[in-house]
Amino acid sequence: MNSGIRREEKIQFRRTLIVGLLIVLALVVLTAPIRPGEKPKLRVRIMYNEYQTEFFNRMALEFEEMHPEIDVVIERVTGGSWTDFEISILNDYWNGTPPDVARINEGWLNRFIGAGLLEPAPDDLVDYLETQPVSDSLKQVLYRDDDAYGVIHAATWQNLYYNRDHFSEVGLDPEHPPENWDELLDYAQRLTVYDDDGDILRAGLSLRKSGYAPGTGMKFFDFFFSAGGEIFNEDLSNCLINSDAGVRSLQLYVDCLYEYRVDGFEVVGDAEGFANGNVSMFYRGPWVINYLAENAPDVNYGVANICADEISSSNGGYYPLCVASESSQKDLAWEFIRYLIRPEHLAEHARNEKSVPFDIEAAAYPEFAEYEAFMTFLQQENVKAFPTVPHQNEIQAMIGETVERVARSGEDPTAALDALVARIDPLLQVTERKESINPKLISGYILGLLLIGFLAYVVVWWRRDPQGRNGYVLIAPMLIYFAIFFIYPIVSSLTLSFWDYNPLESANPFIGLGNYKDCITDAGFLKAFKNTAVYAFWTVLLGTVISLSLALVMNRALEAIGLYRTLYFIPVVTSIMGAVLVWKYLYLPDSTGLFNMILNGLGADNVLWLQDEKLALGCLITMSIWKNMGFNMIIFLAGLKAIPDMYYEAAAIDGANEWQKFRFITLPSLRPTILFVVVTSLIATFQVFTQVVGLTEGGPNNATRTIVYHIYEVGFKDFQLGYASAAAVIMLVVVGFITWLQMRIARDR
Amino acid sequence: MDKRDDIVRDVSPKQLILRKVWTVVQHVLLLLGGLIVIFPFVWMILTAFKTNPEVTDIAEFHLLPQTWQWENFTSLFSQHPMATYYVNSIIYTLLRSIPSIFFAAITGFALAKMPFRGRGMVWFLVLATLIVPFQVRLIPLADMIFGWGLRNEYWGVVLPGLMEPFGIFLFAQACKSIPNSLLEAAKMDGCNVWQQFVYVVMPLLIPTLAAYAIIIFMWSWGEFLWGFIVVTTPDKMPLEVGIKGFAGEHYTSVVQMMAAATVAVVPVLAVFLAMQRQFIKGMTLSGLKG
Repeated sequence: MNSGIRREEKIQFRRTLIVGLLIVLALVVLTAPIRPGEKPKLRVRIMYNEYQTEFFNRMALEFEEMHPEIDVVIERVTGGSWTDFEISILNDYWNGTPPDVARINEGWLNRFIGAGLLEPAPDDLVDYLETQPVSDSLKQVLYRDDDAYGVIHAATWQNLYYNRDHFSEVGLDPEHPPENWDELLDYAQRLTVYDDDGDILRAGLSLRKSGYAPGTGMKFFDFFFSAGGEIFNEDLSNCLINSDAGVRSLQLYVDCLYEYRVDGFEVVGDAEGFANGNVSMFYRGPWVINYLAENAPDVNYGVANICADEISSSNGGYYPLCVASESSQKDLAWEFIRYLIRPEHLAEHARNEKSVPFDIEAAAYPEFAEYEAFMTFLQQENVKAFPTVPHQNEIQAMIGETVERVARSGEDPTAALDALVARIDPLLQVTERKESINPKLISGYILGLLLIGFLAYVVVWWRRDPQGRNGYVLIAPMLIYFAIFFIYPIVSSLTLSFWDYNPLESANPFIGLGNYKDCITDAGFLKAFKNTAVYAFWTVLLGTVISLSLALVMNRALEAIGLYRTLYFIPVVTSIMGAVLVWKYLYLPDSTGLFNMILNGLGADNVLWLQDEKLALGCLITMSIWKNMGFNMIIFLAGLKAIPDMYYEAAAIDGANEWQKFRFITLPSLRPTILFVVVTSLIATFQVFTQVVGLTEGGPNNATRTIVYHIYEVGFKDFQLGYASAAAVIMLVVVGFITWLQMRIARDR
Repeated sequence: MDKRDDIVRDVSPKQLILRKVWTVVQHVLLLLGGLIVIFPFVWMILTAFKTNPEVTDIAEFHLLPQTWQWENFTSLFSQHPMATYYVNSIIYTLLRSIPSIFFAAITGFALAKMPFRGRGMVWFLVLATLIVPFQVRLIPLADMIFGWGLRNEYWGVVLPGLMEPFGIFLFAQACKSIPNSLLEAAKMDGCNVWQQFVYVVMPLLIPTLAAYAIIIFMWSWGEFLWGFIVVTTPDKMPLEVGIKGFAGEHYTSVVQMMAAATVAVVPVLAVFLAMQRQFIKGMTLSGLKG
C-alpha cells in the first residue's frame, strides 16, 4: 500500500517537515533569552514624562563615558497610571530581574522595604541624606532599623497660592496673605463672588474635593497637620484621624462648602480655576508655578506658607532613588545615583519635573532664583510625611475617599471619621508571616509521584508488551509537556489556595481554608461572581436566541447564504482588542460616540454608557453578543442542515403550519446543537477578560469586575497568589459543574 | 426557494405572491442585519482616515472623511512601534503553531492507532485537560515562568502554548477514521512507525491539518491574557497587547485609536475573506472545544 503514495509526495512531506523544523529552530535561537557577548547592563527605571526622556538619556550617556564597562539602560514606562509603575517593578522582582535603580513612590516604600527588596544605602549617601535640607519627617520614612533605603531625589509639598488682584479688589493687603484659619476663612468669605441665583462665580478658597483620592487626602493633611494632628500614634498601631484635629479639619471643609459657601461644586477649582480667575486661594504643590507661567502668565499671584491653626505644616511627598537588593551592579548603581544627585543635575531635573529643588545648592541655580515663589516653598517649616505603614496606598485612598464623600454629602465629620478609623485600624495590625513548607514543593512531590508511577508502569509494560513501545515513544514528548504545563499548574492551583502565598515574601504560611473564607466574604469577589453570572446568563440567552433566529431565516434564504454567512462571521475572526478599540469609540460618553449620536438624533440626551454603573455590564454583553453571534449561527446552520427533509415533507402532508413544523420538528432535532451551543458559550463567557480590561478595567465602581479580572488584579497587582488560586479553583468547580450537567443531559437523551 | 416548500402542490396564486414577498423581506432583513453587524468596522475605517477636528467636533461631522488622511497611518507607525508588534505577533504565532501542529499530529496518531497499555489513561488526561480553563493554570504558570526569569522574553510567552489538548483530540478523532489496513500494508512494505506517520497518515490528515492550522493561528494571533501578563516592554509585545495601550486613558486621539484598530483588524480580515470557506470550517471545528 506504500505504493499508494507517490514518490514526489514523499519528498514534499519530508521537505515540509524539514522546513518547519528549521523555522522553529531558527526562531528558538533568535528569541533565546540569553544573548552572549553583551556588556553588563545597569537598568534604571524612573517614571518620567517627555521632558525627562532627553534628560535621563543624556545622564546615561555621560555616565557611560565615565564608566565604559557598563551599558546604562533607561527603561521607559509606557502608558499606565502611577500605580502601574510600581506594580510592574514588583512583577520584575517576582521574575528575578528587578531594575538596578528605581525611583519608588512613597506609598509603596513600606512594601518594598518590608519584603527586603531594597539595598541599604552606603554610609556616604546616608551622610548626604542627613545634610539634605528636608524635614526630618521626610527623611525618617526611608529608615528601617537604622538603615536608610534610598536617597531623596525629589520632594513636593503644598503652599497657599493667592490672587493678588482679587485681594486688592476686595480691599485686602496683597502683602499680607492669611496666616491662620480665622484669617483664611474671613478672607475667603470676602473674596467669594456670587451670581444673582446665589451660585458661586468665584471661590474664595478652593478645596480639593474630588479626583484622585490619595491626592485629595494629601491636601486634607495640610489642614489636619496644621490643626496639630498626627495620623498615627507613636508605634503606628492606631489611626488618629478621628482626633479633635481631624474633626475640626473636616468640619472646615463642610463649613466652607455649606455654611460660608466660599467653595462649591459648581465652580472649576484647583490650578485650572486659579488660572481662569475663578479661584482666589488654594493649596497646591510647586508645579503650579510653571503651570501658571505657561498657561496664565497674566495672573498676578503670591505664594505663602500654609495657614496655621496650631502650627503651619504641610504634607510632603518624596521620591527616593533606591537600589534593588538583588542587583548585580550595586556599586555602580549607587555611583549612578551619586551622579544624579549632583546639584546641577538635581536643579535641572527639578525644573523639568516641576518639583521643589529642596537641595539648597540646587535651589540657588538661576532658574529657580527668578521665581520668588520657589523660595517661599523652601521656607515652609514642619513638612510632614505620611508615615510608612502597611497598606499605605490603601489607607491614603480610604482617607481621601472619606474626605470626598463628606464634602459631597455634608454629613457629620465625627461619625464619618470614626467609621474610617474602624476600617483602618485592622489594616495596621502586622501579623508575623509564619514559615511553613513551600506549597510548590508539595505540588512538586505530587507531580513526582505521578511521574514515577507512570514511569514504573511504562517500564513494566515496555518489557512485557513490545508491541506498545512505539506508542510510548510517540506520546513521550506530550506526557512530559503536559506534566509540566498542565498537571503541575492544576495541582499547584489547588495547593496554593491553602497557603497565604506571596512570591515577594520569604515566609508563606499555611492557612487552610482561609482563602476560601476570604473569597466568600470579600465584596469584590462576590461582586465579580455575580457580574460574571449576570453577564453569562444574558450573553448566552440573547446570543443563542439571536443566532438561532438568524440561522433559521438564513437556512431558508438559500441563494445568497454565502454572503450573509461571511457578513455575520466577520466579527468572529477579527482581533478582539481591535474590536474593543472600536466599541470604546462607539460607547464614548460625549456626543461624538456613535450611540450617543443616534440618541441625539432621536432627541434624547447623552448617556454615559461604559461610565454608567447601571449600563456598563450591558454594554459588555452587547459587544460580546455581536462578537460571537456569527459563530453560534454557523453551528446552528450545520445542525439545521442535518435535519432530514423528509420530516418536513411528512409534516406538510399532515397539514402542519410553519410554527408547528418549528415546534415539533426543528426544535427537538436541534436539541443537541442547542445544548452544545449553550454549554460552550457558558464556559467561554465565564472566562471573559479582554473586553473588561480594554473597555472598563472592572469599573465603574466594580460594576464590570468579573472573576478572571478579579484573579488578575489579586494575583498580579496584590501578589496574593493563594487567594487568586482559591478564586480560580472556585471557577474550575463552576465550569466543571456545567460540563458535568451537559454530559448528564446528553446521556439522558 | 426551499425545496420542501414545493411539496405542497395546491398553492393559490395569492399564497405564492405572499411567499415571494416574504422571501424578499427575509433577504432585506438579513442584509440589513449583516450591514449593522459590520457597521462598526466601516465606522472604524472611515474614522481612521479623518482629521481630529472632524471627529471631536460634532459640528464638523461628516460620514465620509473630507480628505482621506493617509498620514494618520504613517504617524501611527512612526510614533508607535506598530511594526515591532506585528513582527512579534508573527514570531509568536509561528513559534506556537508549528510545534503545536506537529505534536498534536504525532500524539493524536499514537492515541488512535498505536495499541499500548495505559492509552486509556492518556486519553483521559487529554480530555480532562481540555475541560480545565486556562485561567485555572494562570497563577502557577506565571509563578513558574517568572521563576525562570522569562518575563518580557519571547520564550516566556510561547512556552505554555506549545501543545493544546484540543489539537491532540482533533487529530486523534481524524486518525481513527483511517483504515488499519492502510497502516498494515505500509508495515508490510517495510515502513517503520515514523515512515507510516509521514507517508501514510499525514497525507490523509491534510484537511484536519488545514483546519487546525487555522484554529491555532486564530488562537495565537488573538491571544491576549497571557501576553498581557508576561510582556510589559513594547519591544516584546504582540499586536493584541500592544494596541491595548490605545484603549487606556492616555491614548492620543480617537483618530489614532481607530487607525490602530484598523491596522490590527484589516489584515486578518483580508486573510479571512480570501479563504473564508476554510476559516468557517476550521472555526466550526474549534467549537468542539469544551
